[in-house]
Amino acid sequence: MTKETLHLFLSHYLSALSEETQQTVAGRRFGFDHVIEQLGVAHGWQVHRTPSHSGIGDTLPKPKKEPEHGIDYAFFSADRTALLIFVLKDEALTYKNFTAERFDTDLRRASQHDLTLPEYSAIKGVRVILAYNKNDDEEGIEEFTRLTKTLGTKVGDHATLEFERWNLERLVTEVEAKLLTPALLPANFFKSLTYVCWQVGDFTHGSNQWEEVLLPDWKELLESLLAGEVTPRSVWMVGVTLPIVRKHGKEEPAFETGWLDLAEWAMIALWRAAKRSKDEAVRKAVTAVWLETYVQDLERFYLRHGDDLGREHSLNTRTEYSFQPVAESYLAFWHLGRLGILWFTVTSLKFADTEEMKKAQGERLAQIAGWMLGLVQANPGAMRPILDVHHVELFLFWQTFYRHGETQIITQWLKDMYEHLLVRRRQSKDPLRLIASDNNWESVFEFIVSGKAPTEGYGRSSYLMLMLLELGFSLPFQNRGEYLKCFYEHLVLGQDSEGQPLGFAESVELAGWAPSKDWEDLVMADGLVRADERGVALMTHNFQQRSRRTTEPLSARIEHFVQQSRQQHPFDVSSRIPFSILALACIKTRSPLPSEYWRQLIFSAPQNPQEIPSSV
Amino acid sequence: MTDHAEANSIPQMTLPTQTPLTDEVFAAVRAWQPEPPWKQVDSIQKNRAAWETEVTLVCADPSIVARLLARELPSSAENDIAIATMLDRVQLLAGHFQFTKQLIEVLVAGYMAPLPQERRQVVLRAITSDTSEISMRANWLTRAIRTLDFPVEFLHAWFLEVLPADGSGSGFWSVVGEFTAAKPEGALAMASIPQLDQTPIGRQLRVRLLAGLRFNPAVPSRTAEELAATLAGLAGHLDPERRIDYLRTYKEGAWRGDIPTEELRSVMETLNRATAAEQSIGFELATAIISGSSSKEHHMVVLHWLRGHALPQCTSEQKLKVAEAVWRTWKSITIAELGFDQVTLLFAIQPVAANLAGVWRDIEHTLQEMMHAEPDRFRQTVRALAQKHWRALRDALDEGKAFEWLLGELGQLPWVEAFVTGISGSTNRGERRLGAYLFEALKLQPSAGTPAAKFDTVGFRTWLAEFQTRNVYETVAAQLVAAAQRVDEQDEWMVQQFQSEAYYQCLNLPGRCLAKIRQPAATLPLLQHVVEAADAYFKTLSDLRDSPIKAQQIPSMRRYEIRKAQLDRRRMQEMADKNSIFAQAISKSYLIYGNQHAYLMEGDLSSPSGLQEFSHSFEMPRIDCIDPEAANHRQLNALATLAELRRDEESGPAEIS
Repeated sequence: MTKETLHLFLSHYLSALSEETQQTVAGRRFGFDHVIEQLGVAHGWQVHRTPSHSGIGDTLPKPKKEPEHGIDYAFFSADRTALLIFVLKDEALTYKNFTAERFDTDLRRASQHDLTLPEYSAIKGVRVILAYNKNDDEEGIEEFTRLTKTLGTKVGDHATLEFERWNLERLVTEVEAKLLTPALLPANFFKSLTYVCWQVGDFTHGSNQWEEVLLPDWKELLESLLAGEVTPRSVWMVGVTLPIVRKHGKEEPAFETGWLDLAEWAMIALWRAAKRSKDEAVRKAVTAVWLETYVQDLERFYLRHGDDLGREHSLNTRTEYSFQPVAESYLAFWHLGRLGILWFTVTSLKFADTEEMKKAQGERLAQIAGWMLGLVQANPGAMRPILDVHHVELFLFWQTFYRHGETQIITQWLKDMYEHLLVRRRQSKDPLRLIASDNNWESVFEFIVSGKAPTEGYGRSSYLMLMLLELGFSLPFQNRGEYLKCFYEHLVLGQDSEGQPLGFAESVELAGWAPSKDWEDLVMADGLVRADERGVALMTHNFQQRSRRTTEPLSARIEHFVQQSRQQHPFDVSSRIPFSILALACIKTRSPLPSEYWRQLIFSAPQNPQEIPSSV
Repeated sequence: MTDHAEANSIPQMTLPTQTPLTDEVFAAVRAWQPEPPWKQVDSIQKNRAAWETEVTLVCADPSIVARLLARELPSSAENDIAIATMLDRVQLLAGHFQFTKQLIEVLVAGYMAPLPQERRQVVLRAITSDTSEISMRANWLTRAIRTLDFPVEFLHAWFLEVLPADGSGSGFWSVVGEFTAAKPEGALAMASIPQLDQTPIGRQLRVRLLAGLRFNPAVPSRTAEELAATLAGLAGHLDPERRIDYLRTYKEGAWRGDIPTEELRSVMETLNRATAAEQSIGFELATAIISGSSSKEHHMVVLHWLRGHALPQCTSEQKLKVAEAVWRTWKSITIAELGFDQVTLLFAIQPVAANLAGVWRDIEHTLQEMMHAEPDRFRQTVRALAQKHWRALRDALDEGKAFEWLLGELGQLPWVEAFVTGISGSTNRGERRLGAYLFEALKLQPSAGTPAAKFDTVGFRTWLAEFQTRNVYETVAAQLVAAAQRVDEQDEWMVQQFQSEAYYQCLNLPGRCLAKIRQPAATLPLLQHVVEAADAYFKTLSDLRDSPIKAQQIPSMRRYEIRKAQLDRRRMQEMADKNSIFAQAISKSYLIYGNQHAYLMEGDLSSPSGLQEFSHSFEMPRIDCIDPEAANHRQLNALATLAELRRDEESGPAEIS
């Protein structure tokens, strides 16, 4: 996040606040009075008067039932010689509002403060500060100037009187300088955010504490920030929370990816909120936060480190040797997924339709694709899917180059992937011979430690392999047949070119999946029901048929299956949520991606039901 | 009745004073309590020389023998089993010396001489009634059998009773031999008993009797004629089993070298036309001749016969006999004398399965002796073996135990480096493979500058593929340095392939490869580039060590790493306990507190001593962990290359004529 972005977010956030924080009949109302109080404290001033009683726990403050005399907040300076009186307005400073919204009255009353009370005995000067979080115009400012000139320069006989005006810009600047802390948020979030900030300063990305303590707390905080009716204000509140959290991050290299992890969960929460809200302003705010924080930071991360991914074995880690292939695969797929998301996000951005912009966009896309290719070529872990859900990252890689029209790269990549999987499957003692169908890292580790598959069905069905087989249809015709044949005969049926068994320890069935209608909600929800626990499993029996279709070519059998699946279980890929976010949610929740995302690019549209032959 | 009581039942007499040790032995026998009187045993056996002298005197003087018999073994004794027990004790007390046996032999014969025929037979049976001691007691009977008369029918029945009980011992066969030598007419009569055909032991007895007769010059002429007729009947018998019996009669004579050379040659020629079963006797005959005291001429006859019969399809027993024949003769009979190299018989019986340890041990013995005595012949033999029978040789080498001794000595020889480097560059696949194997097994470290012939394309492809399939570890650097000098630098493809492999190995084993080729690489430009590239690789990795691209932890993995380490430790401990004799023999204590330990032994607490740490580390091949698929794929490709080269080789002209 850049300084400009932060400035913008703070500006949006502060301007979206009311004057006072309070619980109303309509719901919770967050005011910038709280910000003023915290700024005062940050300046070292002592609070003298507040407009409300502090809330207890998560409850909001309650307004005091006493005359304000135009004063919302009053502070003593640190040496107690100056009194700072804040007049707060959540209105624009305009000529019309100056009187209508009682700017003049409140300023006048604040300037006439009674300093005869003993507590003011040391006061030598009074500063009346008009703070407002909306726009202003020249006429409004003129009115302010005119009025303050008439109110004189003294209070009583001794104390000087000065007037200041803190407009939105000044408020933002003050917050940037003094209040990028959990105290910026309303008091009821202070504790949770403080705790999250403490955790990000202490835990390492990926550690048990990160996964088991920080992430649940972070998700809970995001939920509470976006609870109730979603407004732009709540979106901006998340927007300003992000830099606060980031600022507190542990000073170590792992926090760079740790930050992206936190931002990703925030993006999923925001887009989930955006889906819930019908307000277009909310969607725009979410889009802005998404693009200006996550996407920007992701791109910046790879601008710094993307080239390193292309260095030979750059993801090599010092790990116990049996875990090393898994660790490096984990890291490689982590980057492959993010780069795929970044590429797709950039490709879907609508730039001004100028040649220069188009060229710049093309260069950005080529650069991201270059990083992906470098990663795959330099790090063997990128050719080693461990979980079945790694098909999402593989799809993102394929999509990138397919859309670039790089068929040569795709052909080579699919061939290499097939060979890698084949070599793995031939290692009858190696736990990695199977792709973890439960998408659970702990199962993989358990298998490595114990040497036994965690469950009987572990790795015995594969959606990933079916996808790789279907992706074969994207190859040029001259390469397709050989790829499909080798992949199917060797990897799926486990036979060599002479039809002799390759001696695989287990058989694996290619498995399709049709998601349920509420897939999008489920995958975005990260809730108790996982997206892949709904829908229909489409078991292929590896396309082996004993009926009249035995002589049917393999490609025809696969196409027939695809046609039927699409016809019987149609899936609409259009969504109000960007695909990048859906793909990110799949990666983060380890949920499968509906096949339609690649099928729509490879296969022709499904036929009408009456044109499809009945299943055999 | 106990042994003790039985011994005491023998009447005691006073012995003359000129046989003090004999007196002492018999006194000790009489003093036998449930346990032998050990102190006396010791004193008798320590006086071995005096004892031998005394026994010689006793045996030479019939009067002393008579007195001894009268006192210790009166013929009135009814309990023959007790006498046998007493003689057992004499043997034990006086030691298992030849002269002790001689004394007992004399006593037994003397004891039996005055007995009537029936009693003699009873005594013989009594002495051989304890089958557990039969082999030893057989030695006591030879004099009696030789000097006393027994009916042939009795001896026939008695032999057939006793011989099976003799088991693996050969005591009674020597009794049969003595009988045959002393009583040729009786032996021939026994050999003619038809019932001998009914059991294998009967047939074996007949063979032994006939064998003893046919090479006995003392056989009376009339008996000799009958014997010739009997042998001719067997030789021409329709039943091949009888003919085999006939052939077996030669074995006895073969052992002693008694067969006239021409007769041996004739027999061996006969075997050329015989059945497979009869031919197998040829191998037995060969072993008997070569391991016995036959002449060089006999050995040569046998080796020539083996030349025609040593074949890959020989049984493991036959292969063993061939290998033994070569081992026993390679030095004593020169190629010039023999007319061919008997070592070629070792090739003729290939393939020899790796589990035929005996055959490979004899081959190893031959080569091991040859290696020191005739290095040129050794090198030639080894190369020929590798050329023609690499697979069998490799299997035997891989079996682990064969050639351990040989390799241990070979590694010390000054010419080994040049030899191994030379065969590594051979155009023959088997030689190259043996070279690669020896490189690793002998941990050779040839220096840069060792002159070597350049690879041709096939040679390089084979070397590379073999290098890749063998998972070279110990000598990876040395092999690369040696190979670098043989790469044709004009051949771009070869240079690229070699450098790629060397780079892979430097990345895979930075300690064993990169660090060790750094110095020789200074003079080998091919490797210099590789070292530079590998250094750059490790520099990049070092720069990226803390890179954010891989700084994150893998969720849950640490927990499982700890669990695996615990499990590995437990498995290792179990394995150590199972395989270590030491661990099984001692009791184990598990310390819970303290960093020193003391132990209570027989009531005394030892002084504290510190705990010892021990550890062992080795370099893991990196690429196997980083990119196991590629490592595997590389090996599969190498195997495919080797298969392709083999096909080409088989379809093309043979490399070795």
